[in-house]
Amino acid sequence: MTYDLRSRAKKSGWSKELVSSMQVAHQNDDINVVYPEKKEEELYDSEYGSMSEPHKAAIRPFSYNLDKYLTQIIDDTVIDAIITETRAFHG
Amino acid sequence: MGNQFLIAEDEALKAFVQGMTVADEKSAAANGPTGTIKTRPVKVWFGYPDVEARAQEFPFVTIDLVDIVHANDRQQQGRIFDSDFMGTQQAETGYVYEYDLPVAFDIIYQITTHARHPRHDRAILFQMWNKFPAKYGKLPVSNQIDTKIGWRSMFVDGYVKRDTFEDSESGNRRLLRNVFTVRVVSEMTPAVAAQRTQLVDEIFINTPVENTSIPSGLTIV
Repeated sequence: MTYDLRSRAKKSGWSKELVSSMQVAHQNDDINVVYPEKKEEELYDSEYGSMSEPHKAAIRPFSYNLDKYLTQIIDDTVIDAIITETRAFHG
Repeated sequence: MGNQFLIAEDEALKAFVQGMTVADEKSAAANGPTGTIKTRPVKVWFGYPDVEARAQEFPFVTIDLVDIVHANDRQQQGRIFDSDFMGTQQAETGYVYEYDLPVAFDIIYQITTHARHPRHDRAILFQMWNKFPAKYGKLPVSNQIDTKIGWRSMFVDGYVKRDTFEDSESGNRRLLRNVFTVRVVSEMTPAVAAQRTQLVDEIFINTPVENTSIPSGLTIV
């Protein structure tokens, strides 16, 4: 997920340093984009635009496409459960 | 003939955001003898105005397309029957169209308000939130043949305040900005999808090329 977010940001024209400062992290069912606090201003300017620059949105397109990751996670979990169950009951 | 998918939403959203006004000392000074408060309209643009192309008159609003995503959570499968091909053909007595259910999309827009004056900023904020009561809104979009209006649901998925203050070093003046991320639900109608689908009729493999315009000295490989 971090890789996808970073590649979206890179394609949108974010600075190399800003791109590499972002990571996707989750705690239970809460998925967040984490970044150093000192980068917040630059990150918001890139995402939403500034006084003179139009937006170069990357985080929002990433978040609107989260379902494909969640589908993958759920699929993997279900497949794992089926394999475990099969091994447990059928050897 | 009305607009198709995406253009229709663009036009409808611009029309929806338009109509806001602001008042200030300058507009009040221009009041007529009846004492009516004169207001100034808030202009709406697609994208940030290019200062070389048009005057930047504050306050104004910009609309930007952020993303178009398949709305998998709303997608249904099946066949549908109607008389106007989902608003793309004029209905004729005795004719019924049968087609697959359209593809569901969410269209994500960024609506940004720009103002120099705090009163303008607050007036615009008030009017914007009235357009999206309780974070929801509805957008009237006409069908392609302009016979009916469909009401699309809208959602304010995000709001941030992005004010910048006077900076004597850089020479920037104060700018009060509000950024709304708005999601508009949409569908690509079957007629549009059919137009966009390129069908391959024939494929030629290893067919001899009858080309007489090859410059001398070159060999076809």
